[in-house]
Amino acid sequence: MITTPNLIRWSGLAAIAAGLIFAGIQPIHPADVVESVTTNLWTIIIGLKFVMCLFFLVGITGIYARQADKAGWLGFAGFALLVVSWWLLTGFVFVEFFVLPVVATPLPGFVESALGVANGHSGAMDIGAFVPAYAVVGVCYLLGGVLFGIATVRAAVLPRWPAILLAVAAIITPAAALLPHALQRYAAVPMGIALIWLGYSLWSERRGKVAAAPAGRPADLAA
Amino acid sequence: MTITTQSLIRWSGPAVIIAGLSYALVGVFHPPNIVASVTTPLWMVVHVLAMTTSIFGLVGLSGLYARQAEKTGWLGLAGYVLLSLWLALILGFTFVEVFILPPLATAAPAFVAGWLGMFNGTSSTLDLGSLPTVWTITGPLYILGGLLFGIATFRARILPRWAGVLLAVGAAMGPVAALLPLDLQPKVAVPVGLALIWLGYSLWSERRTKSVAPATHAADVSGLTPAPAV
Repeated sequence: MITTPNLIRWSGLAAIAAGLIFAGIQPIHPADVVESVTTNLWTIIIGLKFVMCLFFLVGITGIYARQADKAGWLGFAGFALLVVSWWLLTGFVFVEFFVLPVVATPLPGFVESALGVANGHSGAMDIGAFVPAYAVVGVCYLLGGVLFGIATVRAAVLPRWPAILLAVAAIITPAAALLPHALQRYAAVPMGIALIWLGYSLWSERRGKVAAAPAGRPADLAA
Repeated sequence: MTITTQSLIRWSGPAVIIAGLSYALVGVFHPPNIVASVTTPLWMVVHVLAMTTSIFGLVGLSGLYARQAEKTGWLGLAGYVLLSLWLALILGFTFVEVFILPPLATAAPAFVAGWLGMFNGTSSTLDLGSLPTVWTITGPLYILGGLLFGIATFRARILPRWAGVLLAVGAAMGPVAALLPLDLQPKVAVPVGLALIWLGYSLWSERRTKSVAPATHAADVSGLTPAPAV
């Protein structure tokens, strides 16, 4: 039956799927070079990434809704930043999936510059606001992850360890920039695990507990 | 103020209003889909508005759906999923129009012309891969999603029924666009934009007591009782 608590529970599955893809694709992600974008592996991995972005948006909305009454403004800020980050990222992944393979032959310079936002090597071609927009993704990912992780720990509705992992994973992501690009990717793994863990908690909570919780109804009535 | 699920759902009202308003404005001001347009300020403004529709639509629609999820059943869920997918794909297209087309207008006009050809019906000299197919898919997602969500809203009797009708009819008018001259086609967005503004405003302005009531557990509890013996 479709009820708000059930919808929130089901969103746990979306978070699990997003986390599995996010952590799982990193070891097999093709190199961010022009030659990669026309390979089958690229199509599969980037296609999965596009699905991941959508699942993430659904999953994080459920994780937030589950604890909204306890997570306060900190939780809301973290949620809003994460949504902006992953929503913009969806645009980048759309370009990687649908546009880069098409223009790889006629416009290799453009593809090189576009991939440069991820691998840190700026290409020869000026691609306008594409580069600063990717920086926005990064900043929102980091800040959103830290705030959302802290708010989740403080709310004490979902397990605290995946929340701590989420915050720590967000913090170490920029530090990973000091590593070679191929290793940098692995900063996504703890984030993926945190998502799987939080999603699983959301999904597996006992139904009675979930049904009682989502709204803090007594508080509302008191207001 | 404490953030509760109810207040979250209520706050998604302004998000739906912003999505509807930006969508209607996109419909009114969309410049012609020609290469010369993509480097104009109007192009940038209209497509940033379209991106705004996408993010506020995704967030707001979740609230709009959550408010009436228990009453709209599978029809509402199907409409919500289809419209969300449409908003996600629209994000991809508008993202390209904001960030990719302007820098490529001089460097690769053939790509830009080919891209715009998806919307104005001219064929591309460049093979665009699966992009035209994906663009075609956004049509049924929008029409079916709007139709189902509008009908579900009408049947649920929680939000204004006529706003649901306007959404359904507005979305169903999508194919009519093909009959209009190119420069009038974007105008079919306006009724759907207005329906969203209306729905968002209702969500926002519902009396708190009323908005607390609908999610009552009565529905939940009745779900626990055995179904009538059949």
